[in-house]
Amino acid sequence: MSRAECPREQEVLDAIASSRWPSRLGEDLARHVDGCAFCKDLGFVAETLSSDFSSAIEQARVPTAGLVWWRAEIRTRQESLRVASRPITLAHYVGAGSAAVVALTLLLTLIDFGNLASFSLFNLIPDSLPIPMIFGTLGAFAILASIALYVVLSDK
Amino acid sequence: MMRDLTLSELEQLQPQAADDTLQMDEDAFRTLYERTARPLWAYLWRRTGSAQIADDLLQETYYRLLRKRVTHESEAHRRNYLFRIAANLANDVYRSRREHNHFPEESDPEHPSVPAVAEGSRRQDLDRALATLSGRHRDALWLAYAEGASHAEIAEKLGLKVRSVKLILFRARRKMAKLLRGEES
Repeated sequence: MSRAECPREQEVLDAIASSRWPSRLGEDLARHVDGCAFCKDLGFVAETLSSDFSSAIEQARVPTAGLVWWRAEIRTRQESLRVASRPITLAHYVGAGSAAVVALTLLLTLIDFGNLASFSLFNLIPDSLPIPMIFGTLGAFAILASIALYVVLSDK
Repeated sequence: MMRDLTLSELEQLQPQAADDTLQMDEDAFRTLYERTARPLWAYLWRRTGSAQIADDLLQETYYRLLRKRVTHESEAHRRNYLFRIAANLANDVYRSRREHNHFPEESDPEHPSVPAVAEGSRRQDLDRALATLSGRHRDALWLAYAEGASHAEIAEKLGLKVRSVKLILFRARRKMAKLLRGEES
């Protein structure tokens, strides 16, 4: 017999809950279970899982609620810090990139004028230096640096 | 009123980083934790076959609950939500193991016929049987007969209709009984 339900299902579950399965079912229920595949499977599976659960609960060594709460708080703060520091990291990259552009511009300018050998801070700006390019680069750097400063000093 | 999230929606669930506060007060959390932590750990242990992973997933489950801004209409709803987070985390672990072909021997669904050693053989048989069942069948059986949940509670936790639960339990139970008796591998 293979039905999807049996009217005596609850009796079997009650017997398991009260530790009467399988030896103290009572004559009538025991006879029914013998002839009912539904109740036989139900009793077998439910008792196996129920006793396994009891054993697992006994072995469970869970951390205290306070510890789980504290870890969650710490992780929340770390997460907030990570989110807040994203713009700072970006500003670092922008600053480094800008500095590299300025340095490269200066270097190319010096090479272009053949003055690399006689380079000094005093002859850094030759007469024919492309002033607009230098000032443009420095201006861009100043704007980016101020944005970076604003991001660093703002709360988030 | 919040509608029930489906399991697939919960699979997409990530801790919410937009707010740096936890979404419960500590006393309420303690009460919930005392009632739910041990059964939840037992479930995670059974699902993953590893106490270490169960410990980690337990922490992660409560963290996600605490971080997610959801209005729970009742304590039961919050507990169901908690179970779904745990079930999805356990599913993630299972999928990851399957991708990397890494299963602890005692819960390897690919090798359900590994002979059990004498000591603890019943538990190992149960591990193998549970690992062989589908996630829905496994969770339904666990909730019904380990945790003693009603059909309505199981339906709520698994996002099913109540009338479907009876049939799912019947099929799951029949398969489980065959696996435990060694009639099916």
